[in-house]
Amino acid sequence: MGYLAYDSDRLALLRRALMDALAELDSMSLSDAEAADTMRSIRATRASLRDMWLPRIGDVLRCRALTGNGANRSELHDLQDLRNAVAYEMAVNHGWLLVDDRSMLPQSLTAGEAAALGERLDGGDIAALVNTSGEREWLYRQLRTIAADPELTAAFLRAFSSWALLCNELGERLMAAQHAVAIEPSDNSARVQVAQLVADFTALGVIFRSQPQPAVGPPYYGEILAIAAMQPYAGAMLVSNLGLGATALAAMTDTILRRWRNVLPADEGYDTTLWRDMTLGGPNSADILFAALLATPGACTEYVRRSAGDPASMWISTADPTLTARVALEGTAPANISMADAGSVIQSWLDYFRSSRFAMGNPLMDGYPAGYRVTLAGVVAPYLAQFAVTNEDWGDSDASMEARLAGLAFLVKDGAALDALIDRCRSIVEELVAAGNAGIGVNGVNGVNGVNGVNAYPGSGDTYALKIAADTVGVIGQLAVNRAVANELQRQQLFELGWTVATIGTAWLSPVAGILAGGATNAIWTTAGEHLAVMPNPDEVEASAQLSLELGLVTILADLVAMMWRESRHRSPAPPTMDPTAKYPLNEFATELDKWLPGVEALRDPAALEIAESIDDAVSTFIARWSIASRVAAQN
Amino acid sequence: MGTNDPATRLRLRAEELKRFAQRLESARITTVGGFAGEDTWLGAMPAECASDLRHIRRSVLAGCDDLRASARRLERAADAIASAASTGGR
Repeated sequence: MGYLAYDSDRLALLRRALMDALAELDSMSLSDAEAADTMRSIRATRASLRDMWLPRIGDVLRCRALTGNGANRSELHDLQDLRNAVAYEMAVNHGWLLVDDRSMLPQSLTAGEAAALGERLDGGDIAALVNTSGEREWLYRQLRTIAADPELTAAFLRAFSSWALLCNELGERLMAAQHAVAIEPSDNSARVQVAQLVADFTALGVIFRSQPQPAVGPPYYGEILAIAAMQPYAGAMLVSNLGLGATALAAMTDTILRRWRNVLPADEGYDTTLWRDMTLGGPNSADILFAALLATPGACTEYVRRSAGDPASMWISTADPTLTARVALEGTAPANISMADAGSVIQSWLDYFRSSRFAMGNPLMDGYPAGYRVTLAGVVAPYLAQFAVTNEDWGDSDASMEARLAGLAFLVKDGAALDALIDRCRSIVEELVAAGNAGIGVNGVNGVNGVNGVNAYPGSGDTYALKIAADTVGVIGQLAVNRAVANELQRQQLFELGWTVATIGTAWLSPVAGILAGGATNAIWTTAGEHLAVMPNPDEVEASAQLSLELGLVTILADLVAMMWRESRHRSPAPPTMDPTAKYPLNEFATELDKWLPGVEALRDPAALEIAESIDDAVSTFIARWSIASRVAAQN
Repeated sequence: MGTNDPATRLRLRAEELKRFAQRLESARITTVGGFAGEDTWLGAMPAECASDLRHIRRSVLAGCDDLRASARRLERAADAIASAASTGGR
């Protein structure tokens, strides 16, 4: 709260002086054409004194003071504010009076006057009514007063319906003032104008939503009709002040931005008729609406769902790209959106960027705001497991998987985006390690276990842990493949992460061994630990991080099969082993598994056969998907 | 020379502009800002008021300058007309 402190005698003197000055100016007139400019200036001065300063001072003098005889000083607050402290000092030690700034609102507007204003705005030349600073100030005060009083609002609404005309006019002036501030931030006059016009829209928003809703018809139909007649900027300003819920605000944002953008080239040629806010400085329509989305719980998610049908409106509209990034991240955060919706939204965005004609293949100059791929990486990061070759959350067809992987391939062409995803992998792996150490299994791991606590890996038992390990290793491998391992540091990081996951995967496979022999777990841990203590050097084994990951995974699988088999007390057939010199270790291991299975079947031991088959199925799936992924990576 | 004479009319207009400028220059509006300082009131609105009155004063004084400049222009035009008339009369 701010205070206004005054010496009542001197303020009365000021009021008297202003009245005398106004009377004197009223008496002065000169019709000579050479004096036209001066007379215009005098008229503006008269309006300023008559409509703004004299009423304001009169309000102060009439207002109940917070200090002085009979005043209640307990109403004073915020005296630690320096301005207030000075004012208070003047009040205490010099007999000045204090009033609350809020009490400066006009108190005497009648319903008739509100209706008269409505009529004037409805039928008159609105531009002429808000031409001078005095007029704007007056309108601002009147609208605030009307918005604060339901009776005045009702009277105003009975006489006023030209929403588009009024909002367009105020919007034009706000755009110009915002532009002036963008050009010259120290332009205080423009800043005051911006504040007044923004407040006008705030008041208009309150008045607008006081209109009775129709008993029939779709919700918000009236608003859509009214706003459709406005310029998008004016519509954005009004909508952002309507206090709409998430669904309605998202729908309005989508409607306005599609209309705003449709002025841009429909086919090939650019339309030269751009909305003014596309070319002026300061916030544009999208900035205004996105800020409103961010301030409304749930609205970002509602909007990003709609953006799947028109990603360009989402991604290339704002003047401030950080607003887009915040809406994208908030809207797709796992806590806010379902797994299926996240899949369709994120896939649509990746497809848009991959196929857009603005994408020139050069991440440094592809026509989009710098850093958008890093933003997309931030969006993708919580769903990294859904990009794994074995994951089917976002579709189980080869085509859907190819689309996902192509999107990922496009994304990680940007080194910073890849770094962001590697960081995400690292945190997933750290969670895996922690879960393994704590013995809580994979259900408590967020990164690879679906969203909102929903298990993304239906099923349980022996194949469950293997799927998770394969997904995580797989997505890390995807990043390496798609990046073509161009960056040595990133390649090494990916390899080490993959190896760590492979190690943890071994621990999770222990229940499989437990089916055969309860005492196997510790033995597997011990053996795996000994085996994995010597991590192969990727440079010596293979130049590809993918193949190194394969090697790691096959090493684990081979070791596990050997352990299980030893615990099962069967001596033959001898399980397959990993060939460290193989060019395609996973393929060759699978081939050996296929040869081994008939021998297991011949044993007629159901438990042994079940485990052997589950391992064989998982490895076969992994290999099939990996081959598609490698092809997609090669094409991108 | 009567008042219908073009040069005379221009000079009369110039005189009126100068008189108006003088009256405006000494009008209360140019000094009223002295009542609106921090010895009268304090706060955001008072600061805005003082600033606005300073701006008004500058505008008014600039208007006075404009009026005087216009008057000089009219006088020069009148002189030119008179000079042309006297030359043509020789």
